[in-house]
Amino acid sequence: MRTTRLFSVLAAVGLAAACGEGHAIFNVDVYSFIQGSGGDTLHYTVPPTLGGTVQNPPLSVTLLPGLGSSVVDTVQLTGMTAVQNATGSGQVGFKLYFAADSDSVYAASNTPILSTPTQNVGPGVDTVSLPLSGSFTSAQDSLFTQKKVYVGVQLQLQNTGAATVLDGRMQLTALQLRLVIKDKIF
Amino acid sequence: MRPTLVGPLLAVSLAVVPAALPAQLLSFDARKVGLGGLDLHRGGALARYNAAYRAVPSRPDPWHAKLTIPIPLGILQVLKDSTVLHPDSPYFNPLQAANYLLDLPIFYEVKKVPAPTNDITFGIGKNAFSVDLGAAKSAVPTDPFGFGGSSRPIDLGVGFAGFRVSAMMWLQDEVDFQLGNNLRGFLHDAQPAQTNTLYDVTGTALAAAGFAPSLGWAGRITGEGQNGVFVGVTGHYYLGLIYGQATADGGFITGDTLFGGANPVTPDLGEVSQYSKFGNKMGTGIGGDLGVVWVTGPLEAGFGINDVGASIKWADTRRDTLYFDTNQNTTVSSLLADHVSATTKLPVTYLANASLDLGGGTLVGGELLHGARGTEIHMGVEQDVGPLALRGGVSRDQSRQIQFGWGGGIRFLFLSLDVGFATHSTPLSDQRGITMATSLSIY
Repeated sequence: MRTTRLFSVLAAVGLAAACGEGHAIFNVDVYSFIQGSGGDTLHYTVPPTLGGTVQNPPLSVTLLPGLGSSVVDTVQLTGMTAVQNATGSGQVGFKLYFAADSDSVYAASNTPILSTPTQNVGPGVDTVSLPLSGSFTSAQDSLFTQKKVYVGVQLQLQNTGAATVLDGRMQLTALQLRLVIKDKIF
Repeated sequence: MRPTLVGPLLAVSLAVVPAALPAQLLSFDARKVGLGGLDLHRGGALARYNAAYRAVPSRPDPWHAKLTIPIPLGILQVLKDSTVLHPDSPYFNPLQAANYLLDLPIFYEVKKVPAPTNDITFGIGKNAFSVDLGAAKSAVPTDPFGFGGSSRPIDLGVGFAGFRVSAMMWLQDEVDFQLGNNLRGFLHDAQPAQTNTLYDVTGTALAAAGFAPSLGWAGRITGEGQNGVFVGVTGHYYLGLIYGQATADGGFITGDTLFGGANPVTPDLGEVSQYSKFGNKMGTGIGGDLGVVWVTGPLEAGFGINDVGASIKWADTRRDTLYFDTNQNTTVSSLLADHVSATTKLPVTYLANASLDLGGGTLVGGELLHGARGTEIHMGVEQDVGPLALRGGVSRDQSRQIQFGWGGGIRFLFLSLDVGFATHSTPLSDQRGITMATSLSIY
């Protein structure tokens, strides 16, 4: 399991935020951390007439130490993904999950943070862009007060063709996280 | 161990703490605090900085104390807030801990400087990092900053016919920091961090201590009774017991990738130190104090200057270097030179003061104190009302902030209980905090 420590670095810088009350606003280019690592693509192959899901292994992200005494005010995600279809035709939907442990990421009880309407792709070579936008609920915000959070990307697929395999890949092209923390970090 | 940005940035964050700290209290004497830091009664700083005051005759002054003992109510406040000092505590606050360390709260904080509301924005990417501190960026020092000066904690002697033979203990300490251009631009100007770039802080520190056999004379030039012109001169033969100074540059160099790379940062440390341990050949030097006081009726004025020409030569010192070896991932120290000489200078300090007895128990005064860290100006007034004294004052501290003081005292037999309030500021707020000083004086 890969671990990204992109937030741990913020702990020290966050000291500066302790100079006064207010908000600490983190604009994180999440995509830049996973670009080219393989985590930004997800290959799919669905036999004719069938549906299914493909998903990546949950990604562990280390968060700000000490956030437990702070209040997460807002967490927003925006981005863009491109579905690059190679063969067949069907429908594709994108879901992004967060959870406190890896086993819960894709659990049925876990509501996706971000979910796009299904889009038609194909037939054949076709590229469809899916804009991503979502906000965490107040209950989900509490995930960011923990030491670690797990992230999962899932595609929901339906092959609407009768004979051709639906095949292609999802390519993430942008993903921005805006995290607003109220009060002091320490 | 893989270095991360956390350590260096933690150090940098703490390095900028002093700029956000409130100005220190001027005195442990609540009477002086209530007068805005002014020494209105003879003795105290007047005798310390002006060699002529030894010759000025005593005057009837019910508030001229022999001994003042602070009542450290602020310690109780620290004990109550001690959880912020424990790293394991959920309330641990390194900034507050540093604040307590650098600005020991002897007296009670009646009103803390309000923490300003301030949003801080971080921009983070694999190869991008920026911080906009908002209004807090004013706390990032763009000029060198530090603390230090000289003091004489012990001065024992005997006098006869205006002469005084004495031995004083002297201390000197100077600590200065300066943020490097890149780090200053990053923190103060919100410039994005760059790859393969040094972010550093340079620092210099000096500490020395010793004693000085001294011979002085103070006497009246003209006048009689309480009035006259008084002068004083004291020569010191400084003997240095221990000395050390260091110049250091510390920070980190970013890697090819700011975050996510195998080696995000490389520590960078270089230091040259020079010192003479206790027991080595003592440092030697000469210097002097001069002072003059003019008293005419209710008016009194004085000027004293200390440590004139006080250069101390340390004949036997050792010079070392220390640097961080990136291959070994450890610091390496080596000898540069041994049995070499060094020279230090004690900072010249001067005090100009004046006071006027308006009658009816009203005494007003002012003073200007210039030391190694700048100039302070204090003005104050004291009104006696039977066994009570009411005090008020205003001052300009070394950071050129105007501060206020007020308070009072009650005298009973040979004791007085005094309380003084003083304002203080931080660069982060345009509002002032208030500290309450309490002390007991013996007459």
